Amino acid sequence: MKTPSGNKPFPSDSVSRDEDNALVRRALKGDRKAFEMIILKYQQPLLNYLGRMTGERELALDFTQEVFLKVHASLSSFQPRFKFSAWLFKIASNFMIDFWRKKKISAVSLDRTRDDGENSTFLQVPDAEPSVAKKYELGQIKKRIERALERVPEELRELFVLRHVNEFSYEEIAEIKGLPVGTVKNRVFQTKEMLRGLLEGSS
Amino acid sequence: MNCLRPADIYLYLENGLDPVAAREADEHLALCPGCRSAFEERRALMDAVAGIPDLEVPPDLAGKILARIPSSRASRFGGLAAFIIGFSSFFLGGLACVILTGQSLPGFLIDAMRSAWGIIRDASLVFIKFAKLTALGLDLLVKFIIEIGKGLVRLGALISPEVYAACLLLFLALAALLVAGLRRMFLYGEKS
Repeated sequence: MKTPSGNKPFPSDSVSRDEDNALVRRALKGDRKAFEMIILKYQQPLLNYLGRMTGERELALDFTQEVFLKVHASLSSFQPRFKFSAWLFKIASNFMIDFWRKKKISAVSLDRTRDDGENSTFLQVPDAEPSVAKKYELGQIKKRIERALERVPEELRELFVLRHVNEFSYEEIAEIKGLPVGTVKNRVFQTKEMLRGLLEGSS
Repeated sequence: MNCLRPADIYLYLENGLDPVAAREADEHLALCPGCRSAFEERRALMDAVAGIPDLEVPPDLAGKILARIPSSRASRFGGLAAFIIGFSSFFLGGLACVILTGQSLPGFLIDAMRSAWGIIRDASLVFIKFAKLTALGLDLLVKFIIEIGKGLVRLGALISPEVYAACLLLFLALAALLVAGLRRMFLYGEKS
């Protein structure tokens, strides 16, 4: 997973896991400093995720607070054999699902886009259209990607954000979302092709 | 090799292809300008995606969250406060009853104890009946299990051992699936 600082890697997966479990144990005993360390470690990736999911920084900041409060309230149900970051993002993901359910947002029908079968668009032989990337500077494309991402259906956007913003592995995303790994991969590839299409369409 | 599908290109870019497939993709990309163009385009997209910047976290975010979490000391004090408030309410309520009914304090206490005894007696009766019902239910369950066992023995005598073993395995597999499903539902993560 992408680190709090963005680029500096965690010491290692197992060390980070032991560290998280120790912090959870201390937090459960009422050690506020330990929970503060959990917040400091995960606030950046969580804000990145919620920011891309809501498209509004202020709302994402409010949601970050709410998710950490839920995490604190549910700490006793955390099972150390699972990865803490995956558990935290599962709570965040459920929070977003509740939010969308309340808001009843449905940008694009998933029935049309979520096709994991042989007929899905991303499985077709690629076209050799003139490259979008060649037309724009990298910085400009990043901004365009952010805008295009907001137009991707939430369910697909979430998997893309978990993979390419939070840098979870496909296996970890499958664990967070309770989906088969193959389905996660297909949907992430599908989202990339959709993004490419949106970028081409807006160019 | 056929032309690369976008999914193959993305897997190739993430080093997700197996070595043989990756070598074949290399060879094909060297020969096919269309696939090379598609590959370059997706590589540029992935390079741009990799650089999506972090959102700025306000320095006081952790403090704001911690301020909304009651401290354990406050929780303990909260428990003590609740006890004091409860006890005071009981005392003041009793005093008000003494004043309003005009009863003497000992008379009021005797009445209160009688009422309390009545509640305890009724609750005990309910508890005893509940215990009897539970015992009856358990007895029925045990008899049911014994009958099931007898039924299985008779079934074993009627059908061949292979069919019997297959039925038993199917039953055990279904039971294991049920247990695994329940474990997954109750043990992992927060349920919305």
